[in-house]
Amino acid sequence: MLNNLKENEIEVATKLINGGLAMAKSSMEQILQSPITLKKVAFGIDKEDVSKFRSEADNVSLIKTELMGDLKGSCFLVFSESDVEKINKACLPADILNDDSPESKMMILGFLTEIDNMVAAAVITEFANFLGVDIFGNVPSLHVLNKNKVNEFLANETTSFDSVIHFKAIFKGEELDISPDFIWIFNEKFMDKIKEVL
Amino acid sequence: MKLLIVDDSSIMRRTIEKNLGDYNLEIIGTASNGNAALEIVKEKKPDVITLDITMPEMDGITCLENIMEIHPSAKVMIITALSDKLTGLKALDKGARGFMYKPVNAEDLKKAFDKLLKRQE
Repeated sequence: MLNNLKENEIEVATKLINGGLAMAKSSMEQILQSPITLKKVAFGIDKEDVSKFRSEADNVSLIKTELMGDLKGSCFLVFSESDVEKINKACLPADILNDDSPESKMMILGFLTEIDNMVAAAVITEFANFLGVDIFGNVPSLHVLNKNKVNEFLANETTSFDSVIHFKAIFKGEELDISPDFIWIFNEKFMDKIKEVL
Repeated sequence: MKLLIVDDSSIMRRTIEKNLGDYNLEIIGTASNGNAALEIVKEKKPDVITLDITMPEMDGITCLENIMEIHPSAKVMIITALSDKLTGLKALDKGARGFMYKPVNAEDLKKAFDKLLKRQE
C-alpha cells in the first residue's frame, strides 16, 4: 500500500516530518543549551532500511519511546558512548557526576531518557496537532547495546507491522561534539491520516 | 504552603526543587509515579503539586483525576514534554490550574509559579 503513495501525499508527509524534526532540534538545543543542526534526514518504506544503523562506538545507549494512541510506531534516539560522556559533562552538575551513589547513577542514566522524552514529545506534538490525532509517547526505556546488536534490535521492532514508513535523522552538535541518531517507524496508518487531512 | 513534586525523572525533580527554593513552599515530598503521588496526597494534602504526564505505573492525567477526587482544592501545575493542544485541554478539563512545557528553565518556572500562587491568594 505504501508503494502507491501519490506525490502530494509524500510532499505533505515530508513537510510534516521536517516540521517535527525542526521542533525536536529546537528542543534538544534547549536541553543541551548548545546549537544543534540536523544532518542526513532520510525517509523510506523498506523495512530492511530501518536496520542499517552503523556506529563507530563499541557500545551505544538506545532510548526507545513507543507511540501510543491513534497511531502505532516507535522512535529511537541513539547515543554513542562518547556522546553520553560529553552530554553528561556539559549538562549535569559536578556533584552528581562525581558521586558514586546508586541515586546519582540512576540520575545520570535517567537524564538520557528525559532528553529522549522531550525530543520525542516535540515530534509527537507536531504530528498530533497537524493530524488531529490523540497520540502520546510511552515511558522511554534505555537499552545499552553492543553496536552489533543495534540492527537486530531495530529489526525486531518492525516485525509487528505489515508495512512501515520510517525516517532517520542525525543531530549534530555545533559546539558540543555529538551526533546522535534519531529513528522513527510508523505503521501504514500514518499515511492514512495524511490522506485524511489532504 | 505544602508542595509535592511528581516526575519520574530525578533530574527534573531536583531542577524543580532547586528553582522553587525562593518561594515560601515547604516541599513535603517527591514521587516518581502517579501511585506514589496519590499516597502522599492522601496523607499530607499538599496545597500545590507539580505533575508530569508521562510516567510509569500511572500517568499524570489519570493521577490528576484521582487527585481532584481526593483533594480537589490542590493547585496542580502540569509540567510535561507533551505540548499538543489535546493534552493541554485534557489537563485543564481535569482540573489542572497551570501547564508548562519541558524543557523548563528557571525563569519560566518562576513566572508560572508567580501566576499560580497569585491566583491562589
